[in-house]
Amino acid sequence: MPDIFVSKNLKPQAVLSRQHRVMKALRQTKLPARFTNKTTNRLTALAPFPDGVSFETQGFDEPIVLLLRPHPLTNIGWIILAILLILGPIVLPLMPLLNLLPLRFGMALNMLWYLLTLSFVFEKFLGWFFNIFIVTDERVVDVDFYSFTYKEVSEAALGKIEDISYTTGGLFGSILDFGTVSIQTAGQKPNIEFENVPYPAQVVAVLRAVINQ
Amino acid sequence: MSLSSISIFTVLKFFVLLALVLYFAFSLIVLRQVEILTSTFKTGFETLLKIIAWVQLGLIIAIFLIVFLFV
Repeated sequence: MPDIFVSKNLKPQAVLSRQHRVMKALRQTKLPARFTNKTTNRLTALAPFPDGVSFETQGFDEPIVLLLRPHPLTNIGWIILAILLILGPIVLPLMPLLNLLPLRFGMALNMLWYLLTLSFVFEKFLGWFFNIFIVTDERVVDVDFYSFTYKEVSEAALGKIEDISYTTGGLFGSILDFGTVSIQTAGQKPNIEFENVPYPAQVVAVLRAVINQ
Repeated sequence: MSLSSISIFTVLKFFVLLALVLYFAFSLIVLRQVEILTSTFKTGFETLLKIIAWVQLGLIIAIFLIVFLFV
């Protein structure tokens, strides 16, 4: 008999059982707890089995095993620039040329400046927030948000993954353990790359465990 | 009105208004992109992100009016 009413708030039993199966497989590989325990933090760069997160093409009973974003330290450049932009109008009146502008005009330019700063911060935050890599028990999905006018979504079925490798490099990458995970797939599709993700070696271990389970 | 009577600030005001019109068009793209992204990937922050995009659009209109009427 078909269901007359299915609550959207309840996870279907099939999702939970598939989730538990993957969790069990991950625990057998002796991965650290940060990869096997559920998380409710949605602003993190590493979220295993995230609650309340879904993506457009997700199957009804398809559990998200791992959600990754670039390491938070990759944001440091634009955060410093944003602080300088915020301080700009405070420092700039010291320059004699800008004192020639009428007061109202100067105020309007200040407002415009802060609005541009807001846009800059918003775009950079979205660039990090939506630059996501999702691993489910069926596939991997890579969403790259380059700018407000350009984004790229690529995915590959786990069965089509042929080779997984990772690279770490640079001063901060080595110290804080973040790097790039490359996934080579069968066919002519380009490789999928998870860039600057935390603990790339363990991410590869998770992928192998999910593929082999 | 001769060209010589136009002050440098009138010209500057014209360019600021022009920039704001372009910025308004850009913020419409931002709004659309945020809607697409939040429907592609749901995390519970959809409302907040949409509010920021709408606030940005509102501020552009407000600044345009301030520059147009009072500067």
